[in-house]
Amino acid sequence: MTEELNLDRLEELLETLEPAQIRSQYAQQLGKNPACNDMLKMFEDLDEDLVQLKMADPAPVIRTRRRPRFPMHWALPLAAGLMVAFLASMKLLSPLMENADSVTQLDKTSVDERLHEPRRALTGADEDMAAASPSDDYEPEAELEQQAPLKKRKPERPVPASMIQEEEENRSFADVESKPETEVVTPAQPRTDGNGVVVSASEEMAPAEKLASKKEGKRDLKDKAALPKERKKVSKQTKTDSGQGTSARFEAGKSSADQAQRQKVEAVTKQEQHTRAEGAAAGERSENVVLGESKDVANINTLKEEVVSSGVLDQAQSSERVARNSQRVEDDNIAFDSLASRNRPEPAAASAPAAGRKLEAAGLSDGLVSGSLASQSDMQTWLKLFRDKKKPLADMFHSVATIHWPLATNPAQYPPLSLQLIRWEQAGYFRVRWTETGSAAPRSGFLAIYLDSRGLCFRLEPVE
Amino acid sequence: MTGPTAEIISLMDAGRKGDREAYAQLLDRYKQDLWGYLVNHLRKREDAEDLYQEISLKVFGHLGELRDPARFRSWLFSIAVNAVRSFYRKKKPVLDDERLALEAANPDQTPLAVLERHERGKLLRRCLKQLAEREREVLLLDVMAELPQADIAQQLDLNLNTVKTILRRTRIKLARMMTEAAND
Repeated sequence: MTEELNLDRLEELLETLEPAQIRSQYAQQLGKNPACNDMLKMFEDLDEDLVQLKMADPAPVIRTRRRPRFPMHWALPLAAGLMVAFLASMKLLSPLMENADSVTQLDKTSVDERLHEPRRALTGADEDMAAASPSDDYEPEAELEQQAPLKKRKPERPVPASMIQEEEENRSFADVESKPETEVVTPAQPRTDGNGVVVSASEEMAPAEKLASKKEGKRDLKDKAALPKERKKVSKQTKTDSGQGTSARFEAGKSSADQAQRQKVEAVTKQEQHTRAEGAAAGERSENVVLGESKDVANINTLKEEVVSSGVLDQAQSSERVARNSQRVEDDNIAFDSLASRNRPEPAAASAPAAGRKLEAAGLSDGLVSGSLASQSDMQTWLKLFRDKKKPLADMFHSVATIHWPLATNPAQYPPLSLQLIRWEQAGYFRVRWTETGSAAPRSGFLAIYLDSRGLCFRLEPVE
Repeated sequence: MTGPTAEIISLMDAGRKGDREAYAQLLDRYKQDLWGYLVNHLRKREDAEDLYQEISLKVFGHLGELRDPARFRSWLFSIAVNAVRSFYRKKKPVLDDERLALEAANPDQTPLAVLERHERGKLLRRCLKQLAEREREVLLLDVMAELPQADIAQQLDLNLNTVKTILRRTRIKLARMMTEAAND
C-alpha cells in the first residue's frame, strides 16, 4: 500500500480493520508517521487503560448501618424528663381527679338510677312543673344521696399505729393545754355581777383559796425557771389545776402528767448525751455538736466529705481527660514522631545483610530506612505528610534533610545526601533534587516511597 | 458477564430477607464496576460518592422487586444510569476534579513507567469527559459496568448494532483525542 496515512485515514481504517491488520498492511506508512503509530498504540491499549482507570480508584466504603448512638445520651434525660412530667401532672391533677371521681360517681349513679327507674305517670302538677322548669335542672340530690351513697374514700397509705398514737397524745395534750392557756396567759377578763359592777376572778375566790393559788403560782414560777422548755406544758397543767382551786387534784394531775413529761425529757436528754458521746468519739466535730443537731451535723459532714472526695475524684478524672485531649491534639506529631523513630536508620553494620539493590546510575543503594510500618495507613500518613508538606522535609528525615543509606556495606561509598523535595508526583513518587556530601553538583530525579516486607522504603532514581 | 452462581442467588435471597451482610457481600462483587462507572461519568468525586451511596441504598431497598437474579448486574446499572441522568437533570456539570487517591509507589516498576501510566490515566480521564454524553455512557457501561451489549441497548433504548457502532467509533475517537492531546 502506497497510500498516505494520516489520522483521518487511520480512523477510517480502524472502523473496518483490526489494529494488527493495519500494522501489517501499513507498516511502512506507520514508520513514517509517528502520530499514527501513537494513535494505533493508544487504540490497542485503550481497553487496558480503561480497566486500569477503573481499578486505580478503589470504591469508597459504604456504611450500611448507622453507628449506634450510646443510649445513655438520650435515654437518661428522656427518662428524667418523663418522670418529672409525670410527677408534676400527678401533683397538679390529684385534687382535680379526686373531685372528678366523686362528680363522675354522682353523675353515673344518677344516670343509672334514671335508666332503671320505672317511669312515673305524670300528674297534671308534674306536667306543669316540667313545663315551668327544664328537665335537666331536676336534681333531687338528697334523694340521690340516700339511694346511692358515695363510696368511702380510702386513705392513700395505711397510717402506722405509732403515728396514730402520737396524734392522739398530741390531741390530749392540746385539750389539756388549751383551756388553762387561755385562762392563765390571757389577762383576766373583767366580768360584771348582777348589778353591773365589774369583778375580778380573784375577788370571786375565797381568801384561803387565794393564798393557796398564790403559793402554787410561786412554785410554778420556780418550776418554770428550773425545767427546760418542754416542761412548760407540765407547769401549765399545774396552773390549770391550781386555777380550779383543788390542791389534791393539782397534786395528782401534776404527779401523773409531770411524771410522763419527765420521762420524755429524760429520754431526750439521754439521746442527746448519747449523740454527744458519739460526737466526742468522732473527735473533730465534738466541739461543734449542738443538742439535737449532732446527728444531722454528722450526716451533713459525712455527706460533705463524700462530695468533696467525689469532687477530688472528678478533678482527677477531668485532669486525666485534659491530658488525654492534649494527647489527642498532638496526635499528628506523635504519629509522625513514632513513624520517624521507627524508621530512623540503624548503624550500617546492623542492617548490612539485607540485599542492597543498587542503582547503577547513581551508585546508590535503595534508601531503606530501617524499622517497619504497622500498616498501609502509616504509609498513607507518610505520603500525606510529604504531599501536603505539613512538616519540613528535614523533620521527615529525622535530621537535616539527610538520608543515610543503611544498606550500604560501606557507608563511605554511599554518603549522606541533602535532599530537596520539588513536588509531589502521583503514585508515590516525588520529584527531588539532592546533593551528595562532598560533591558540589546537585542531581535530580525521583524519590519513590513504598512499603515492602522490610518496611518503609525510599528509593532514589536519578534522571539524567 | 458470567451467569449468576448459586452463591449469588443465595446472597440475593438472604438480601431480600433483610440480611445486611449478604447484601454487603453482594454489592461487594459489583462495587468496583459501579464506582468506575460513576467516578468516570461524573465530574466530581464527591458527587460520585454521593451517587454511589444513593444507588447502594436504592438497590438494598428495592432488592425484593428483582425477580430474576441473573439480571442483577443489568438491574443494578439501570438504577445507576437513571441516578446519573437524574443527577445531571438536577445539577449542572462542574469543573473536573483531578484529585486522585494517595498511593504508594510500585517497587517493581520504574518510576518513569509508573508516571507514564499515571499520566496516561489522567489524560484518558480528561478525554473521557470530552466525549459526547451518549458515547461516554455506552463506553462506560461496556468497559466499567461490563454490561452485555444487548443489555446496554435495552437500557438506552438503542439498537444492538447501534451500540456496537457507537462503541467502536468512541474508542477510535478517544484514541485520537489522546494522541492529539499527548502530542500537544
